[in-house]
Amino acid sequence: MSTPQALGGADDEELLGQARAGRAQSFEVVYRRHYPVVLAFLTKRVAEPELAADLLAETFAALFVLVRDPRRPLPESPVAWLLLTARHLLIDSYRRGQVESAARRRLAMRPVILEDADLVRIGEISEETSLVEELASQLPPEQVQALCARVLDERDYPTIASELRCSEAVVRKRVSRALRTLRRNALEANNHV
Amino acid sequence: MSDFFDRLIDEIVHSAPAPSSHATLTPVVAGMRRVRFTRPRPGRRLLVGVALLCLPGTLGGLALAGTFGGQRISPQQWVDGQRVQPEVAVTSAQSAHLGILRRPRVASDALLPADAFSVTHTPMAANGVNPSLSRRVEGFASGAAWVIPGNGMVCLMASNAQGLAMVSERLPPGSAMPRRIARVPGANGAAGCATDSNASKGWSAGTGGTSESPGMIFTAGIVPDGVSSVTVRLASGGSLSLPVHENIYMAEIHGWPSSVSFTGPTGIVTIGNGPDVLAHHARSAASRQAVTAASVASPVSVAKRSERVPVGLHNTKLETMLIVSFRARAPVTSGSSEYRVLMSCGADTIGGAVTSGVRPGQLVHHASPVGNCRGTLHATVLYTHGGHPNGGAVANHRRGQTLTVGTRAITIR
Repeated sequence: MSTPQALGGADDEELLGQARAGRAQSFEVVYRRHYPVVLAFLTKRVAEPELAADLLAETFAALFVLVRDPRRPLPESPVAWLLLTARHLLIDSYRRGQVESAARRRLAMRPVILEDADLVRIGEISEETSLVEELASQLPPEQVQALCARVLDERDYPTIASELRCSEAVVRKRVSRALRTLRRNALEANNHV
Repeated sequence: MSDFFDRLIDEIVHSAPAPSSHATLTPVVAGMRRVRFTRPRPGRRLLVGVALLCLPGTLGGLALAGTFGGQRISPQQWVDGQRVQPEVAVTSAQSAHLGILRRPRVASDALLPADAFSVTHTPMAANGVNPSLSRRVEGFASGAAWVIPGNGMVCLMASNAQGLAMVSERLPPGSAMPRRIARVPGANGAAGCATDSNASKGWSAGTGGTSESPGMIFTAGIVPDGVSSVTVRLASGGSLSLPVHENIYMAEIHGWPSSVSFTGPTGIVTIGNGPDVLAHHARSAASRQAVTAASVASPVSVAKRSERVPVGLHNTKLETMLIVSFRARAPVTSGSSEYRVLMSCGADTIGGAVTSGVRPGQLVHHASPVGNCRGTLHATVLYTHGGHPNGGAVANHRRGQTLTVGTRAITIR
């Protein structure tokens, strides 16, 4: 049987394909590869580390639900799928007033204890992980810059344009292209469960 | 030892293949009976801040009253802009006798945003209360209670089911911050802080009553490890036993709980619950003679304070709070009296009450968010006494006597 370490060299899509075929270790590789960046994304947007952990759990549970459903195509870019799914879950949670748990219910998952040390670790991972570097592996630099400023940091277009020393129209175009690329990669970002 | 991330992936990949399952399991983070999503939105926080302060006979007043003993800085220092360093971790002095503070913190232990706002944006913050250390008490079928460590202090916030519903109320998406939220009939609770030492020995957070449930008194307190029940002695005679869950007793009972007893590690301990207010009520005619407008009158000051509050996802902005301060000439020791702080805001009024634990001569502070109020606001402080203790003074203005302590205007631009 392959260990997660032995699978470390495979790409994400290949790993998810293996996971769909029943190899749980492959899913674990994807999880370990990307949970820090998803966590970093979430911890910058919620006040409590416990909620970030809860959203993280739901995000990966949603990916696992997708992987186990043979009728649904696998995401071409899992990290983009995860970030956009996390973002959708975050927004849904704001609207609903509580964290979505549909994927975990579908998986009949049991609760996982959050120890004090875990909360510390969440903070450490958040500090150590660069979301920008992760996105930079998928997008041109100017698009990463614009996307981070607008979508992830939620700054307004005039501010971004001023910082990047370009027009608002250019910023809008870069953000649009980046989102389109991520959407294309993410396939079913809106249908995460 | 595996960490959360190891346990999470283990749980995901070993979960049952239940694509069409309707199993109703709890969320993945342990103990999440109900996750309150703490989006740092100032409107909501300010809203609930008002709500707390407006809870008659319950959280707001007691929370404020609980800030006047043993804190590292005084409430006046807090009002003056000084800040006490919040406790960064549960100390051994706090956890030695309180098992609830020794167990791991889980997501469901998080304070409701209302309460988190209250403990950090009112003079209660003088206790160095740290919401991120809170523990929600497990075991009560109704209502909710949180134990929150502070700087040398242990605080308790407890409420009945209606009180919990009230502070849990949410704004519709995109709505602006109202100045106050609708009161839930019967909302009741108790809150306050004790020194680590007192909390470890056993301490009552006080009592509360409402007009909707006359005769019913809410009481709550902290007891040390090993105590499974407390005995409440009623002022009317007789007693009853209340269960203890995770160091906390909490109940709404019929009649005035004059004292609470339990057998602790050092023997039988009896906690006073304030003077016997039924006896106090019997003396109220005489006391009413003694209390006059002149005897309660006191200069009222209103200070504006800018508090930095979260906005959106990760920004903050300055929000204006009004701190109404006055020197109490008459005491508030039971549900038969209270100080009420009213602030005109156009045709509306905002404010709240201080309903417990005020000594004569004590400097009292009351914090209210300004919200959308602009122009000249008139603050009025009223003192009501001589009401029937069952139901609190708030409900008994008709029978009690209400006197004006003082007024003060302030302009908000």
